[in-house]
Amino acid sequence: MTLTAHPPRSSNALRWWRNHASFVVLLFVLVGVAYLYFGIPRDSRNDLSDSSENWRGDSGRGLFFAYAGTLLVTAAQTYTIVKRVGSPAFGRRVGGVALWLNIHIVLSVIGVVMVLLHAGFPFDFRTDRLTQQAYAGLATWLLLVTTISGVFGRYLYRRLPTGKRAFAYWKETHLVMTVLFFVFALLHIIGVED
Amino acid sequence: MAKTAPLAAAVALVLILAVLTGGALLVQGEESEDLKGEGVRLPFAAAIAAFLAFVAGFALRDVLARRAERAARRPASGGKPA
Repeated sequence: MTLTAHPPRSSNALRWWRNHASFVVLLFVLVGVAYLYFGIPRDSRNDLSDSSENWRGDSGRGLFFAYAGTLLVTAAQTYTIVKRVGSPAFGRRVGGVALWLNIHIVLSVIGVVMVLLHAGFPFDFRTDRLTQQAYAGLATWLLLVTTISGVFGRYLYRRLPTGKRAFAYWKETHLVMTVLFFVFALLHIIGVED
Repeated sequence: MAKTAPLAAAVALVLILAVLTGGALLVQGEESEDLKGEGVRLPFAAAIAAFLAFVAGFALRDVLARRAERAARRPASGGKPA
């Protein structure tokens, strides 16, 4: 009788969690934000908005979040260079494309949270102020949409090669949204009043 | 993916700490009014734009190379290969 060693198989629940974790976390975040925005009475919301004055906008911390968050989101784009250099040897030498995808995700998530704090999200964040403060609102909305698109892309990426065509469409859309975000973010940085 | 995750986390942590330390020093050393001034904002925007242009250059080069590769694979007559 021969004994063969099998690698431990992950349970169905664990596998399901690995495949859907990003969506579950995103859903919880969206529900939490929706509660903060719509579920809290207006007076309490205004109080919360006042209490966030120290870390948003042009306060000392607010500006720190703005600069640091923008730097992190920009540094996350290094992934594009590693991926597009086109030389597998270069990719391996710098740790592999998978490593840089992880770095892209971690840097983006932390950068997005910092920029959202600077923007006063969600209390001081209204759809009727998209173009005020040199497109601050529009840049923030584009950042949110790009982030949600990134989560969706990660979901599709895990399913490759199934859904290869959907992934190709997603990649172009994500690229366009990222470019739009950076255009309006730069317009905001350059044009915001002193 | 699992093998690269710890290294990715370590690299990301170093980058994040570098940015946070730099940012904290920046905020301590400058008044918030100065940070909002054109003297800081414009060079910062220029640096970000330059880096993004560099990234876009790589992306464009890759897209053009792929298109050229696809065109080269197509038959010269334009019809279906025999």
